[in-house]
Amino acid sequence: MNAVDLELHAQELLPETEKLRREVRLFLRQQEDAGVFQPECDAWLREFSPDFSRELGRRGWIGMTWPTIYGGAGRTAVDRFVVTEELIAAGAPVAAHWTSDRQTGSALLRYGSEPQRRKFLPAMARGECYFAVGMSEPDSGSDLASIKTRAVLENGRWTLNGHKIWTSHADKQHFIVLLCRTSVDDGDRHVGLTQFIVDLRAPGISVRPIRLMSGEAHFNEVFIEDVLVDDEMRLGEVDGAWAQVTGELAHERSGPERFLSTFPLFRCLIDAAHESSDTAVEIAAGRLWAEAWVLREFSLRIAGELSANRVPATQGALMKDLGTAFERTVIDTTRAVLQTRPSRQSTDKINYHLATALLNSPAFTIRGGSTEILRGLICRSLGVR
Amino acid sequence: MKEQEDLAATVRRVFSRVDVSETIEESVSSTELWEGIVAVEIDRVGFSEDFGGNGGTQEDAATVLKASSEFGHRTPLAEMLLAGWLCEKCRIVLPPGSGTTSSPEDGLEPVLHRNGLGWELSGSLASVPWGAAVDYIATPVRIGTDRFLAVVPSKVADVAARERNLAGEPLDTLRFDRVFVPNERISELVIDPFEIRLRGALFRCTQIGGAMNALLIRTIQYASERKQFGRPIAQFQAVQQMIALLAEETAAAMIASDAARNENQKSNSMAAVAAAKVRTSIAATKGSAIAHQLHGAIGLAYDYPLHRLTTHLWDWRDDYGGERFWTEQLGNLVLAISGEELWPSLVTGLDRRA
Repeated sequence: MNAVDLELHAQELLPETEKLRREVRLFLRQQEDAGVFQPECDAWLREFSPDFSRELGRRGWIGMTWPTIYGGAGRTAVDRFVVTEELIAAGAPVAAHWTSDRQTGSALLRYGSEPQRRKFLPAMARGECYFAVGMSEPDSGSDLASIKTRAVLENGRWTLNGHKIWTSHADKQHFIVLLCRTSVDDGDRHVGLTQFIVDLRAPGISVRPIRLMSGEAHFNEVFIEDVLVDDEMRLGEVDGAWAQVTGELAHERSGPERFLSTFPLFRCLIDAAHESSDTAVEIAAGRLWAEAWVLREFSLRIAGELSANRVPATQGALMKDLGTAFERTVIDTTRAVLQTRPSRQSTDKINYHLATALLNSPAFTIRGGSTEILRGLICRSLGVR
Repeated sequence: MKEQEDLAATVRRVFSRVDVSETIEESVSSTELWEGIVAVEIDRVGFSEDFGGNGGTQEDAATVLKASSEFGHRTPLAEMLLAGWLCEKCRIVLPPGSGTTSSPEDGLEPVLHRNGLGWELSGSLASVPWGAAVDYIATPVRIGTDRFLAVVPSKVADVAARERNLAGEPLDTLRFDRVFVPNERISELVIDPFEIRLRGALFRCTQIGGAMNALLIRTIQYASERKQFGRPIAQFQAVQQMIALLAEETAAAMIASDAARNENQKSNSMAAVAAAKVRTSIAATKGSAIAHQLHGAIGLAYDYPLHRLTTHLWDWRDDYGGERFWTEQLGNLVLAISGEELWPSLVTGLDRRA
């Protein structure tokens, strides 16, 4: 077995970090009391609010780990973790800037050009410029290397053609990072991929929302027809995007949104069961708390790894599988111990949140790395195969 | 930390050199394994020399437990370290020799009566781990209606019943009939008996973490070597999925027990220990099932070492309270707070008893 640190390291949070946490909590309390938002399950993906994103940007809570010269706060991954876990636990509407903050910013810092960093990062940090992620295609989900969107270089400019799908909020965001095939290598499919930053209002781009079983439409199809992109908008090396993408995925997998998507429902369950004398409810609540406590500790330790400039890809995958299963357990437990009747129109919070959670629940274990793919990745890391 | 790594290395050296499958029939002291443990003084880690210990911290005790649990050994090492912890808390010396800890139910403790220069102990201790195989038992006792801690000799008790746990370790019911106990072996029980159970539960979390780690390594090795249909079974996707699940449960168990040790150390939290015991018990259940499934028939054989880990996991998940007990303890605290306090409780803790 390959040595993989499964225990990681306890993180001692500094007083400044706890102070930051208190500021975020106070802000969220004020915003919720003022009716700016209601807690929502999956809010980090579903709830798109430019106003809210700009408020966070004003406070320096977007791009926290980016250098200050680009508008970031130059803080650690643990500081960012504390802010994001508060936002997600509160079910706050952070979807507009979420991917920009979580992965696009890091990609620009690691692989982007200086002009790109100067052009985009400050506006992203202000919560004013939003990026979509253009990876999946109708025929390429888990098998990302099989994508067919092409980029061809001609006279110093690239022409892009293809079709992306499951792109959250592409209908409302400003730019998209498109993963394209730029050359075909006989030996290795992972070679020959390149990422491009594309304006979503560019000629040739059309976006069509996809209606989901929940009734909502945050996912989109993006049609790319002879879209012209300057080489200055290429993100990273020609043909070298695979390493960039796998790095992005590790970041994508390890955050608190991977176990807190149904936290508003969990809160409702505790409220509904408060002072219950039903032992079944008591032990169910105790078990959920135990699982949540361990997952949060796991997530924090992963943030500690990121702060130390290590990329815990294996641990991120482990945690995502455990966390997304937990998100579903919250739903199942609620149903098991209380009499519920889920409906999106219900004025009873628990039935409302249960309906939202259920209708979005199949996605938990598919998005950001399907469970079965993650388990294969985990095995490879452990030296199995 | 380097010292912890060195200590773990010492422990692994001791356990690698002896035959851990040795069954202890009579007394632990007469076995090569226990002699090896005593020789490196890890039987008395985590409590001060003033009380019969070898010094070191509870973190050192945890390192010893975690590393030794990888080997599936059957010794009273954990119960001995628990006895040492208990003795130090109550400021009483654990005498030389081997020892174990008993935590009798409320009201069922044996009773001390005055006898000239000392005391006489009468009553029973049910299902004491290693009770008849060790020299001393650290146990709560009663004088009238007050509780005390006594370190009582076990060899002079009658063995009323002998049971074994799933791992084959003795659980002896001992009957004391006016057994003499000198003054210096009795002390005020300054902690609630619940705290003994809590500490025992924390020890078990640590042990489960160590055993799961060994289970994962062993299972991966087996799946990589065992060939069927012309290739290692590890190449089948179904097997890989299960190995990944085993790794997840192992990570959860190790993180849970490490976090609980830290939190309990900082704030004397009961909730953190309870949560870890619940989580490690779940992990032990899922992990042992996967390991056995992947080993196929050979995993059932007594001479094949897998059961030494899995039967321990099955025992440890129930020792000092299983999921049923600790989820209720936790649930009681969780339902006393509101939904709004739920998130803060996960960040800062559900109880603070320091």
